[in-house]
Amino acid sequence: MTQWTVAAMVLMGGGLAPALWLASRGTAVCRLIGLQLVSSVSVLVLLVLVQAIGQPSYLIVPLVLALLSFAGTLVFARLLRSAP
Amino acid sequence: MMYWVLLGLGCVVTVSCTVAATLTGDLYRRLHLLTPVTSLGAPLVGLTVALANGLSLVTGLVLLTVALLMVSGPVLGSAIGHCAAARDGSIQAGSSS
Repeated sequence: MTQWTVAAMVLMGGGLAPALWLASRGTAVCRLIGLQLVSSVSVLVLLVLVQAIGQPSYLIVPLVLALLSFAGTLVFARLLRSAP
Repeated sequence: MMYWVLLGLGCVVTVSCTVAATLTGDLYRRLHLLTPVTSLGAPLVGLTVALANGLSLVTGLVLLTVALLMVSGPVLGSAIGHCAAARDGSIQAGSSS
C-alpha cells in the first residue's frame, strides 16, 4: 500500500463522500456548491490515482475535468441567478 | 517520508474543508470553505506528485491541472456567491456589482 493509494482512499472517503452528500440535498445553490466541491476533489483523486497506478497517459482526464467543471459550474450559476 | 507529509497535509486540508462544509448550515460559510480546497489542498497534492515525477512532461501536466484548479476555484466561488445574493435579493439580479 503506497502513500498514493492511501491518499486516494482518504480523499474518496473523506472528501468525495461528503461532497456528494452536499450535492444531493438542500437548495439549488447549496447543491451547486456541492457540485463544485465534488469536481475539485475528483480532480485531486484522479491526480493521485494516476500516480498510484503509474499511467501518466491518464493525466489528460483530470485536466479536462478541471476545465469542463469550471465552465459547467459557471453555466449553472448563470442559469440559477435568474431562475425563480 | 516527505511525500507522506505533503500528501497528508493536502488530504487533511481537503477532507476537513469538505466535512466542515457538510456540517455547516450557512450557505455563505460553505462558500468560504470551497476556496481552501482549491487554493491549499490542490497545490499540496500537486506539489507531491510533481516532486515524485521530477522534471518531466508529467510534472508539467500535473502543475497545469493544479494551476487551473487554483485559478477557477475563487472565480467559481464568487460566481456562486453572486448567484446566491441575486436569488435572496441582496443584490439586483441584473447588476454586475
